[in-house]
Amino acid sequence: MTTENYVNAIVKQLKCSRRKRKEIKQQLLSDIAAAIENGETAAAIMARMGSAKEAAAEFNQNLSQTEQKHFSRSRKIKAVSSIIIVLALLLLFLVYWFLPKSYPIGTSGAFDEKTVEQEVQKIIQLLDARDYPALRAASIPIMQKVLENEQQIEDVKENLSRDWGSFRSFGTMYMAEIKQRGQLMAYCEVTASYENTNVTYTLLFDKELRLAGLYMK
Amino acid sequence: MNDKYERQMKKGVLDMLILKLLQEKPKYGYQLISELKEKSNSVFVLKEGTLYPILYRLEDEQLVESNWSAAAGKQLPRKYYSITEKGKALLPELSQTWNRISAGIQQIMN
Repeated sequence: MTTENYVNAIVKQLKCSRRKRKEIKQQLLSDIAAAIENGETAAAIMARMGSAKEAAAEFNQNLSQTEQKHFSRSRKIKAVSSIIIVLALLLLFLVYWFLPKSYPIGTSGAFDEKTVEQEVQKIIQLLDARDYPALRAASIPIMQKVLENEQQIEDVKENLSRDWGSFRSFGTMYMAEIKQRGQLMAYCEVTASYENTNVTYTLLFDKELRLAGLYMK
Repeated sequence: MNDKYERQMKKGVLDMLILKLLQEKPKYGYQLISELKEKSNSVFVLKEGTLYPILYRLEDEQLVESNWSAAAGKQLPRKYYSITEKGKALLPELSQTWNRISAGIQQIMN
């Protein structure tokens, strides 16, 4: 073992502040070098000082209580800091996982722009036709329950405009893929023109292209 | 068993012996260990783990002060300790105290 490794092994086991450990390391290396200059061999010096564990124990027995308190306090701070860092990383991961992230439609390969567009148009046409059974058949279970309140949905439509008139055309569709909590969805926003009003629809579809969300304004 | 008691007895006088050795001139750790051993006929054989904490404490009490020498060629810098005026003033007191204790011990043991 080199004298540097020997000294490092001692210093590693010292129960004192980092500053004091650094000081002791410098002093030990210097005094060991002086002993070697004086004719002692490194082996003889290490034998005289004892094993690294014994040498460190001697220091720890004699170092002041203040130094030992510094050591205990810094160990506690290190432990608490480690826990805080782990919790912060976990929190960051959870926030990242929960936050919705959007990507251009087709990025994952799960959705095709044309197919989504057709599905959006189909849903809106079913709504216009008040064909709630067909709408429910095209929806996820939670959405099916929402669509059971047919009167409520009709009331919402009436609140937007008493008489929409007949459907005219679809405006530009904005589509994206959204990932949240590990779930992938297709998102679409489109404004439909009617005879007497314009309605902006926001729709969400799951990977099976079942309706998972609907918003009208 | 004897080791333990011997260590206890020696502990009380180390501060005084170190101050005495430093009274001559500034010295570094290895020098102090070597001189303590040589001048005491190996009665005082100190290890660094005992010496350094004593020096740190004496320095905290302003009885000694330290400074690192500059590196000289291949020689590593050395941490020299020197006695302060406060340390010099204390030393005769410690010596008197030791003489008094030593005399008292002699009276009991004889």
